[in-house]
Amino acid sequence: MEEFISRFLSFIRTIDERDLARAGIGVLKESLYRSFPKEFHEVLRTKFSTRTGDCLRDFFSKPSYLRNPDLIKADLEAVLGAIDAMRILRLEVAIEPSDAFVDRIAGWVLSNLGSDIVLDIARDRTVVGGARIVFLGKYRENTLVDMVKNVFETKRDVVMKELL
Amino acid sequence: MRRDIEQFLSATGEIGFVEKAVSSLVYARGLPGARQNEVVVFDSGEIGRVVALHESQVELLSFSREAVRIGSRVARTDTFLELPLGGEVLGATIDPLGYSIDPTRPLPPMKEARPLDIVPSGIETRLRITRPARTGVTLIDRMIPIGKGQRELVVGDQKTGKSHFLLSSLLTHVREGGVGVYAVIGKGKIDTKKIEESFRALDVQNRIVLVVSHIDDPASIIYLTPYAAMTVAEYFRDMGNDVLVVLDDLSMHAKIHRELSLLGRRFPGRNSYPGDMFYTHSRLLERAGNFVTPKGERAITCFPVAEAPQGDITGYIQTNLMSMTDGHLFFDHVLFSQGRRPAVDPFLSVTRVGRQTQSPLEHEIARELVAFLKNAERLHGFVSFGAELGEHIKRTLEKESEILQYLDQTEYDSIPSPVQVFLFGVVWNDLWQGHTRPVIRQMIKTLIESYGAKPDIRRQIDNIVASSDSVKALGIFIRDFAPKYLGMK
Repeated sequence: MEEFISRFLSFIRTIDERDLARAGIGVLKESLYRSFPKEFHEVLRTKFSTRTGDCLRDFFSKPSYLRNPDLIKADLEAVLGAIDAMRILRLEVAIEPSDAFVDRIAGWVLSNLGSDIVLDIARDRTVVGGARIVFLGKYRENTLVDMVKNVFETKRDVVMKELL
Repeated sequence: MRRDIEQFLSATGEIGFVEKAVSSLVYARGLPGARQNEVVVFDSGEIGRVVALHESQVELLSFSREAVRIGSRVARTDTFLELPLGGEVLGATIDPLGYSIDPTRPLPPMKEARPLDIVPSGIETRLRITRPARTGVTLIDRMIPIGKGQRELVVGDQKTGKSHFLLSSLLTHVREGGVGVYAVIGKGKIDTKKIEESFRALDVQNRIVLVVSHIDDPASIIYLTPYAAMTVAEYFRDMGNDVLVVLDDLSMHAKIHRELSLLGRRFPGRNSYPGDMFYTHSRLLERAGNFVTPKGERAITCFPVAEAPQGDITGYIQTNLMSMTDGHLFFDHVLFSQGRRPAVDPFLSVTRVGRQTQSPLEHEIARELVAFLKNAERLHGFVSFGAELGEHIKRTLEKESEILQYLDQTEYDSIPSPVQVFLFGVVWNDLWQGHTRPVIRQMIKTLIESYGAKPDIRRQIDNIVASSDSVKALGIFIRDFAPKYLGMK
């Protein structure tokens, strides 16, 4: 189960995807008692992304689940708990994040920090370059603005000499 | 005063996000290194304070007038609440964070800053109370004396003359060279104006600091007011002054503490007040006392005020305060409606340490007065049966009326202590017998004016009081000198 949850969480990259998965699991739980398994598969197809939907379908197609909606419900709740416990890594960047950008960052996070981390990427033009990083209440500013400010503060004489 | 959150974010490397805000209480996620009572800065630049640390949240008290936005950022500052202090604060009216409440008259930058909430200093810094704290109110100075460093609760219903007594006490204290601190806790702006005007009219405003919060201020600001006042008092004590601090009033402070505690979902106790109600006030009042300082013996005398609706002094907060102070003055609305000024009930009022500051003569005067008035009160019950009165009883009741004239202070803010003793000698030796009320009032007025204006009379009265070691000895001097000073034939 743990392995499955870890694999499922690895497909959730951002907080938007997390909210989508959370809402989908809610609908999926309700579908268990409405013409199961037809409705169940319909929800998996329409309410989830391809990757998360396929992951759930593979896992719940095991014979032990076939005639046991209560068991599926219990496991879905465990998945929901794991989603709620995901830690948020907030990045403030100057650009509008593209899918490739999100993929690259999420890939790095997955391989370096683990699967229980979800990205919250926000756009802030004042960052100019680099990023502001917030994780578990820790704040780090690795921005171009900050670097320039530091240079002006610590090497003021050198800068002035170059300018004049 | 707004602060730049970016600066603190970079400095501490920690951030929190507001998840919930209920009145002044704010719950934020993050800030892993937050400490109890640490100051935090919100996105708006307004400040707050950490009040509790939960498993996944930090509970903050916002000092902002505007509601804190959900989702906004919070930063730690690695500092605790401090009040900027300096000599310039004398004569100013400040809020509990140390800023002038009049934006047109901002205070200059101060050299020193002191924490608002400290652990009261220990027994090794304290001295026995030996010096009298004169209030200028005859009834109190003679019958319920207060010492410098004493904490005396002022309790009574609304409109019973408490404020007048407090102003009179501050006036006397300042005239003796001390510094006054008046904390106006969650009252209307008009009340603050009235107090300011009274100080200005008495020309003592330059020796008094007003620390005010108004009823429309956030609960968090009102809550801080008495702590800020006590911090100001401690500063001036350490500068070598005796300080009188008035906390007007702690019933309102208790209500605000209750409001914040209930909003914070603390478990309610008696009358829904939180369990730490006694601790909150006792910790505050423990900061007053008579101290040994590098500049010698200096005292913070404290007059906390509590309202007693309908004259009921058995309420939770009132009895709490009574048990943590060194006595109380009970202002009775019945006495007030009878025209008694001050309307202090001397039999329900208590002083626990004030008597040890009195001279043997003053001690004897207090004893005689209390015994006489108690006896006269008993006689009133007897008279009400319609019994025919003997000469002795008639005279006792007449003398009681004369003593009440002596204690009446409708017209005077402050009567110097030697004059109080001298006038006692006059009334005790029956020199006012047969005189009407207006004549007695005129005699008192003449004596007070002469004492203030004529140094030779002042010297003589001071000598008479100083050389009398008993009421009997005082009587001998009085019979010889009083007629001259009082303008009697």
